[in-house]
Amino acid sequence: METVISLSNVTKTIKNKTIIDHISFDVYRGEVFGFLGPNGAGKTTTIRMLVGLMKITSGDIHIGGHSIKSNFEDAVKNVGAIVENPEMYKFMSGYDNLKHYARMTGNVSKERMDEVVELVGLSQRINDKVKTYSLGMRQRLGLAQALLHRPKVLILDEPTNGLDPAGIREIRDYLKRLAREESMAVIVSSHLLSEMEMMCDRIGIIQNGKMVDVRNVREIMKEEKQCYKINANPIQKAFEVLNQSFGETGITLSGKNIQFYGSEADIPIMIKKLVENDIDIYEISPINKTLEDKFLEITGEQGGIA
Amino acid sequence: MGLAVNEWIKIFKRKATYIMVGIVVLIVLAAAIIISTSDYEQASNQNWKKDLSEQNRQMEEGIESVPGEQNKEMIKKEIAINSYRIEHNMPPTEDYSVWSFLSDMSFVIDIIALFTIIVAAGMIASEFSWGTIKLLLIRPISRVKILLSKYVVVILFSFMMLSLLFFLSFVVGAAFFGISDPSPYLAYVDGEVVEKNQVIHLVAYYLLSSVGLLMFTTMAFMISAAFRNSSLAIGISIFLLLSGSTVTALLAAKFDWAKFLLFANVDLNQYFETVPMVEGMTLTFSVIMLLVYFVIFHVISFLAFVKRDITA
Repeated sequence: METVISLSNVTKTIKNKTIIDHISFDVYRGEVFGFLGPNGAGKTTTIRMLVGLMKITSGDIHIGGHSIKSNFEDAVKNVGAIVENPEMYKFMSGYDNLKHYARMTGNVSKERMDEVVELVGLSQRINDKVKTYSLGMRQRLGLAQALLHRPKVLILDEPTNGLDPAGIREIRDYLKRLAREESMAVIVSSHLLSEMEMMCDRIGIIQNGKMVDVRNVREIMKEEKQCYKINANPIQKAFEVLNQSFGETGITLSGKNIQFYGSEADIPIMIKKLVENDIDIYEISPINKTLEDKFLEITGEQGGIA
Repeated sequence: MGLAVNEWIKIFKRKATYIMVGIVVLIVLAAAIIISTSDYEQASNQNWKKDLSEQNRQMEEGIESVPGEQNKEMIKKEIAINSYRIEHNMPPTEDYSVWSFLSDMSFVIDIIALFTIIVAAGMIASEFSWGTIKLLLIRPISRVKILLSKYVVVILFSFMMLSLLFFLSFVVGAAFFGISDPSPYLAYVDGEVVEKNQVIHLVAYYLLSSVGLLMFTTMAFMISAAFRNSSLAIGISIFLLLSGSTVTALLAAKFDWAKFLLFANVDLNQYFETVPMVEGMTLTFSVIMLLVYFVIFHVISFLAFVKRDITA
């Protein structure tokens, strides 16, 4: 896998306060990398350093092999970005806005502009003034300006903020397509976990300015042991039986259900035991932990230390 | 190059800019109409020689009681020019022509200064208030180039407005009052009265008046870059533009260091038309002071714009 962006020990200090503390991670070609963290964790600060809006106190960021500190212009050539809301010049038309940015990058033909406008589905309204656009349309125009110069990396800060469900879905599918088909690296930040789960290949979790964990989304979801819910009658007896055979750890009785934490292989053994003891089984089902639970687990642990 | 085009487009895509241009055009037209409809009968005053010598006599009597070296100098200049007119048979009030109109219209330069300050103040601050600064600065272009392109466009804008004023006044003046041979302009240099070409004098006067415009514009640009707030930049610059010379004149009466203030130096016409604001100031001194201020303004804009983080 080709590394497109590489952060090494990036630190940002503002007035003796460490906002970002030695963050290091790589983003590869063709993947959607999620940057996840609660509000105020340092997501936006990191993104602003990535695109050169903020200076790095120590450490360095390389984009396409160029250091953003010593070779800003070459590094940023590879980046298309929206930082927070896609604010445009409202008194100009969408097309004039794009032309404005095209002039600053060079090498953007008229055909490319039309292609991008078509791609984000703004052909109908591109000659209208931006002040008449809805938030969703502004978001698309923002995406268009980020894609104009065919960057290797697309960086989007909270791309689905303020969009309706259809718009969110559209952006999500679109980003996935860009990563798969154009092998772009896409970095998105968000505090919405459910969204990240559907959009990203890998997720970096940031908290209090520290990178807590970088994980593959599928890896997070596929762990060996998971939680099962057992509904049986009589429940008290079932609880005792299971306690005897599996030991007290991992089994809890809550209301009419037993919660069981174990691996898949434990299930047939468990059923056998219950049947042998004449217990009626109504339901045994895995409780799917969402990314949200995982996230809270991970940040919860680390939060205690910080 | 593309950068300057961008900035120019951003200025001319806004209604406010056309309002500014419209106001300048209106003022020139209105002035022409008002002047052409009012009477200028004094022009045919046959007794002007007698009046001038009477004036001179009064001034000569009063000169000793006038306080301040500068004021005395002013009166001496008046007397010298009046005597020169009497000697060379040049009436002070000639027929009103395009040249007189151009000279009268030079007050509009102050209005243009006001407009240019508004544009300069918004140049950087607006990008912050619109939020577009973020998308602007993530292009593969160094911030110095962006800053420079913005400044160059502000200067181009002021130059465009000044040319508009000059040529419009010329055309309107010619249409209303006709083109006549310009009578020579009487300058007072080192105690001597010298005849000068009126057209050259007018162009020089316009250019020298623009020096103040340039300095205030640069200052507004600096405040815009430093505070990232256009109302603040407009407010401070206009306040200083309006009150600066008055305050400096007050200070100059008491303190010698007043001559180091920007406002004591911006009006270079003072060396050609009247007498310097503070005693002992020379043209060279003012030019050096202006250059120093100019460089300081640019260094501050640079530091504020290029070095600081964008948190908007």
